[in-house]
Amino acid sequence: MPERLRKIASVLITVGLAAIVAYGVIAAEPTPEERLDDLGNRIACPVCDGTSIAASPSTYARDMLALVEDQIAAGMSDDEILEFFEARYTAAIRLDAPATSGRVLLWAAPFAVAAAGLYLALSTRRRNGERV
Amino acid sequence: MNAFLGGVSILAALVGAGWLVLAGYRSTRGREAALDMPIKLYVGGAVMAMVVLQLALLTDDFSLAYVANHSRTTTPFVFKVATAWAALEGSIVLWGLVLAGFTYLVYRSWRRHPDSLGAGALVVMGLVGVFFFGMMATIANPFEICTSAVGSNCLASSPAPWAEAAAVAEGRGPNPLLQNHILMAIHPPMLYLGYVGLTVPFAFAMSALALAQPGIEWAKRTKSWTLAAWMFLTVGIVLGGWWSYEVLGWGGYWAWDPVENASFLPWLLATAYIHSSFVQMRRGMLQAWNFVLVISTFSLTILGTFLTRSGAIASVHSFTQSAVGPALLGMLLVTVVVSFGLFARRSHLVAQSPRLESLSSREGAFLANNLLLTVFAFVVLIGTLFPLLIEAFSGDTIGVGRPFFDQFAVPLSFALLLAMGLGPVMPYRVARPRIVWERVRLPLQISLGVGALLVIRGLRAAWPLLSVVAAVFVISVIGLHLLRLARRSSEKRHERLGPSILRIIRGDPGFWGGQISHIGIALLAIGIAGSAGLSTTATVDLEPGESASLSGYEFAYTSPFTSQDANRSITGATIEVTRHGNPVAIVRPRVNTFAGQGPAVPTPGVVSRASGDLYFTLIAINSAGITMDVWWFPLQWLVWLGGLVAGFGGLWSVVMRRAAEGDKESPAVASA
Repeated sequence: MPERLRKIASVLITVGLAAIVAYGVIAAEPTPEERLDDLGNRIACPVCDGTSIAASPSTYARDMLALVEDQIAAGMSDDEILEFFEARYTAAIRLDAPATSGRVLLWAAPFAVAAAGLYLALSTRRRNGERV
Repeated sequence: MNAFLGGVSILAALVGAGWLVLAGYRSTRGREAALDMPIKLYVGGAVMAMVVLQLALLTDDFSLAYVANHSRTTTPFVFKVATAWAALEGSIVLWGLVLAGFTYLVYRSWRRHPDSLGAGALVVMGLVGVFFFGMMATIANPFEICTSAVGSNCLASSPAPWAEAAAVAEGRGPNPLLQNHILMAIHPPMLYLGYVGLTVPFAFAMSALALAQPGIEWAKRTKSWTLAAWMFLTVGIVLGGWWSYEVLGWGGYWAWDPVENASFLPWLLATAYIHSSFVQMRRGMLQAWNFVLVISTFSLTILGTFLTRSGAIASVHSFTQSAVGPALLGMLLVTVVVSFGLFARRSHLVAQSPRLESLSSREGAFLANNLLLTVFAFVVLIGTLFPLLIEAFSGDTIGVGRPFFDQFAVPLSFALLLAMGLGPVMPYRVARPRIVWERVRLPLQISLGVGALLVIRGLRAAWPLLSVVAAVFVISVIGLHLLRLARRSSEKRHERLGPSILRIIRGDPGFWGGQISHIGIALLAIGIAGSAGLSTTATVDLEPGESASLSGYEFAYTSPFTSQDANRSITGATIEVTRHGNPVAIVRPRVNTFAGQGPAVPTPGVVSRASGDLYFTLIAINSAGITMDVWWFPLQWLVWLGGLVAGFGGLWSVVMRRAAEGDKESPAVASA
C-alpha cells in the first residue's frame, strides 16, 4: 500500500475507534442504582459525623436511603429529591456543596487559581522573535 | 522509672537539637564547629524516648498516663508496639524519632563534604526538632505520671517523674479501630517517613535562601531525599486506604476525609516539585517556582499535622483537644511567614529563568503537570478548610463532601493522565506535530481500541471509560517506547530483548523510575475507574439458609459464629459464595467488641478475585438473621497494586541511581 494511503487508513482507524468510545461516553444513562448511590453520597447523615447516608451504617441513614430509593422509583428528579431534603434539614444536609451564595467562592476559587496559573505559565513562553 | 528515663531522653534530644542549631550556625559562618556531639545527643535522646515508651507499653507500666489510657494487658504484642504512635503524645515521639533519623542521615552525607549549605540545612532541621521535642517536653509529654484514676480511666496526670502514681490495675486499651488490623503497625511509620522526609528539601531550600546561594545545588543535593520521602508517602497513603478498606467496613478506601486530604496535599505538591525540579536541573527553568513548591509542601505537612492532631476535625485520626493544636498552628504561621519572607528578600537573587520556547514540548508537558497538580492541591485544600473557615467565621456548618472533590478530581486526574502519556514522547524545546503524531499514533489506537472493545461489550459510562482509555494510553506509550529502544539496542549488540530492556531501565534510573511510577498511577486509575466508577451494591436481610445474589455471585448465609480473643469478642456470620453453582469462597464478616472500649466495630469479609472484590459488611446480627451490605468492586486489586508500583518507581530511582553513582563516583544527571 502506498505510504499516503496507509496514513489515511491509520487516521480513519483512529477516528473510528474514537467514535465508538465517544458513543459509550455519551450513551451513558445512570441506572436507578447508580442514581441512588450518587444521591446517597450527596446527602449527609444528620445524626453522624459528616458521613453520607450512603456510607453510614446507622438506622437513620438507612431509612433516609430507603426514602430516596422510593423517590427515585416514584419518578422524582435528582434536583427534586435534593430540594426535598434541603427543605427539611437546611442546606447543611448537602455534601455536594452546591454553589449557592455562601459557596460561590468554594467553586470559583479553583478556577481562579487555574486561570492565574495558566497566565503565569503562558507568560514564561518566549515572545515571537525574542532570542535566548 | 520509665517516666524519669523518658523525661531525660526528651530533654537530651531537645538540648541536642538546640545545640545542633547553634553549632550548625557557627559552621555556616565558616568557623570550626563540631556537630558530632550535638547530633549524637539529639539522635540518642530521640531513640531512647521511643525505646522507653515501647518498654513502658510492653511491660504494662500503667503508672504512665499514656500507657493507662491507650494500652491494656490483653492487647496483643503487635498492637502494644503500634500503640506507641496510636495516640497524640506517642505519635509526636515517632515524629521526633523519624526527624532525628533523617537529620542523622543528612549529617552523615554532609560530613563527607562539609559545606555551609549542608550546615544551614542541619540548622533548619535542628529548629524543627527543637519545636517537636519542645512540645514533648511541655504540652504533649508522653511520660506523664497518672496521678488519679477511676477504674481504668486515668483522669489526671503530672509531668513530674517523682509524682506518686495512682494504682491502675488495667488500662483502657487502644481505640478499637486501631487494634483491628496489622496495617496499623505499618501505615503510620510509612506516612511519617514520607511526611518528615519532606523536611529535608525544605531545609536545604531555606539554607540556600538564607546563605544567598539560590542556584541549583540545593535541589540537586536533595533529589534522592525527596524521591525517598515521596516513595514512603505514596506507600503510606496506599496502606492507609487499604486499612480503611479492610477495617472500617463502609465499603471504600478513600472518602476525601480531612485526614486523608492532609496526607494527600503534600503528596500532590511533592509530586509537582519532583517534576519541576527536573525541568530546573535540565533547562534551568522554574527556579523561583521550585522554592514556592518546596516551602508550600513543608507547610502543608505542618498544616496536615495540625488538622489531624488538634481535634479541629472529628475523625479516627484526631485525638483529643489539647494545647498541641495552637502550638502547631503557631508553628505553621511561623513557617509560612519566615520562609516566604526569606524567599521574598532573596527573590532578586533567583536567576531569571530561560523562557519556554513552545508549549508543545517536554517542558510544556511538565508545566501542564505542575499546573494541574497545583490546582488539584488547591481544590483539596479549599474543600478541606472551607467548612472550618465558614464555621469559625459565621458559625454555620456546611458540608463539603466527596461529590465536591470528585467533581474536580476526576477531570483533573484525566488531564494529568493525558499529560503523563504525552510527556515522554515530546522532545525538549519544540515538539513538531508530525513527530508527536508519529509517536502517539499506535498508543492512541491501542487505547481507543481497548475503549471501543469495552463499549462493544456493553460498557456505557463517561468517566470510567475515559479514564481507562487514558491510562491504557499512558501504559502503551511507555511500553512501546521501551520496546523500540530495546529492539534497537538488541540489534546493535546482538543480544536478546529481555537483557536489553533490563539494561535500558537500569541505565537511566531517573527516567525509568519515573516511568514505572507513571505505570503505577495508570494502573491505579484503572483500579479506581473500576472499583469506584463501576461498583454495585445491595443491602440484604438473610435468615440462616437463605441466599441472595449480586453481579453474578450468589451468597448464602449458613450460620452465625462467635469466638473470643484475649482482647475482643467476635460475633460473625459464615457466608458461602458461589458463582453459577460453583463454590468460590467462604467468608466471615464479623463484629468485634473490645474489652474496655466503646462501640463494636465491624470487620468486613472480602473475597478478592482477578475480576474484582466481593465485600461484605455486617450491619446487624441476631438469632433471627443478619442485615448485611454487599458490594462488588471491579478490579479493586489494581488500586493496591498501582499504588505500590508507583512507590516502587521512586525506590528504583533512588536505589539504582545511588548504585550508578557508586560505580562512577560522579552524580548522574537524570534525563527525565
